[in-house]
Amino acid sequence: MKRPGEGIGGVLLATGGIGLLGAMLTDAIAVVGRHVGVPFTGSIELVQAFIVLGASSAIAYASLGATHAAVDLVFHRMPLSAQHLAHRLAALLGFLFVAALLAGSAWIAWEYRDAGERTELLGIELKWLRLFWLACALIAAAAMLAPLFARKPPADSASPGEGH
Amino acid sequence: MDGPLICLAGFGLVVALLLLRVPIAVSLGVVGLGGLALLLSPEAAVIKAGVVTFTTISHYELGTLPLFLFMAHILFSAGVSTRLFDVAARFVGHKPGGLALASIAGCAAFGTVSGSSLATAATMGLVALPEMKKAGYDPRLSTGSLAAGGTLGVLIPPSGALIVYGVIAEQSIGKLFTAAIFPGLSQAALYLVVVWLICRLNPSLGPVQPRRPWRERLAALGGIADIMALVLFVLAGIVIGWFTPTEAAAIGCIGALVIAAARRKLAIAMLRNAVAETLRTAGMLYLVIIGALIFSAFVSATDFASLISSWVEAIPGGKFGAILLMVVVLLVLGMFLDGMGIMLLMTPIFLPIIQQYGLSPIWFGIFLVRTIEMGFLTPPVGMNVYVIHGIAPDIPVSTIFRGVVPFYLADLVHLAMLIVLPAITLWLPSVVGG
Repeated sequence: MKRPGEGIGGVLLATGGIGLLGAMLTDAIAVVGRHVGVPFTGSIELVQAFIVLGASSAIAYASLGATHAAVDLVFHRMPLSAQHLAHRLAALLGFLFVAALLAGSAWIAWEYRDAGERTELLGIELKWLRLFWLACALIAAAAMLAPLFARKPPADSASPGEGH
Repeated sequence: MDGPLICLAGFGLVVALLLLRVPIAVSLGVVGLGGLALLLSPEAAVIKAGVVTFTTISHYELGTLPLFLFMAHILFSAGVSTRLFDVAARFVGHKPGGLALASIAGCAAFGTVSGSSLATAATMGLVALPEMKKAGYDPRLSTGSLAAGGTLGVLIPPSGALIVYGVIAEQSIGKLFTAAIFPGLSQAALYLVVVWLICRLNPSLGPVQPRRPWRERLAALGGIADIMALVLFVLAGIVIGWFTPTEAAAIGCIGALVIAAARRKLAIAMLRNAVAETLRTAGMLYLVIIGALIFSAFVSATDFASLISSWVEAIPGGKFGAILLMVVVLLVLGMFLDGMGIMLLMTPIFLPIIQQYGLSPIWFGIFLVRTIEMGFLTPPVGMNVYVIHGIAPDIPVSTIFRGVVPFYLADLVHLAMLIVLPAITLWLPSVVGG
């Protein structure tokens, strides 16, 4: 498995880490505050913002590492040429899927561009979160497309059944 | 072509793509988008994709998933995996089949941290298999207990599968976690009974080990007391209602960091590795959920669920007939498809039927995850079996599958118990609220 730790991967690791640690600290402070009688108003909105940061980074990071779960039942019993073809099909469909997510998200972001979308309590502007996701989706789409131009499928591409 | 037929074609296409090793998320998402484009319009499909995506990545309760993964990866770095088996082995190793009993206890304890079947089987397998081999255990018993024990990781909370089910079925994750406690414990208890019975009939399969003095046992227990205290605090907090599952996961992460620091394992490199592993798994799961939600929207648009409901109504035996049919479908699918894929494919179809019969969606979540777990043990896919085979390549896959058989029979008994006695699942959430 490729392990993206440098370049774009390093940036995603940093933003994802900020998202995880931010959500963790905000929720922990909110719990303590609630139990000592000092409620953290708007903590859920802040956690949601950190979760967008973490989840967006995670999707792009997982796509860069080509670690999306797949079923490995008959693939290795197929002839090599068919494996190559199936690998390219997976790459093409993966790109089309993430590109559709990107297009739909961009469409909605464009529709809301002048609406001044903000969270209720803290007034966090959602457009920055949407933009961050769009950037991550762009990286994920590009990463999905990359194997289409590879000469042959990597031996350990897409670890099977990681869902559980 | 009418809606239900398009839906059936969609299911067939998803299965075909999965078999071609197209990632689960992509298979579900592409077919779902194509179906929506066909039934509604391409514009509606793309907008739906955008709405589902941002709703999913900003979902507060779904934040439970990456945070629990983060907690688990921090604890793995703190050496939790090796110690759990060691403690159980010191307590029961001197009994016939004691190391197999310890493997199952270790898997159950590891399940409270991991939430993954494969991770539980792999981690416990690495620790326990060499010990059982050294002690002269029959390979069927050693590998069977580990492959089956691994499935405990899926059901015992915090469970990744239950978090995903909670999101797609719009059910309380706290209630699902609470409901999973007794089924998880009773499943572990049944596995322990299986090992006890096997070794009672033929003690040579699991030779006894020297009895460890209590001083050694308590010392080992002290080595995991902090981790167990953290896990119990997190789960009790959810069950009692001190905090939401997302907050519980955050508290768990803080506790895990404190434990790692106390054990002098907290370092930048360790934290970086934990974040990387968390992002890798969370990213995969987020995309799978997005794909499944789009596919679910497609299934809803076809009105396929109401057609299936009318078919199910015609099945003799009422709700038990319908549940039996679901068990058969899930077990057959479990032979060929990944557990998460089956759950995401079948929930939109089965859940309306369950609700039509007045059954609890919380009970259904536990039933679904419990049935799907069994697919980890059945050929030809049987992922846990292959994980164990990967650790012990000298033991043939057929031997491991044979070793799994008694545990699979116990699984069938357990499943029947969950169906006939739904109180095993629903009593605790009804008492504490979740």
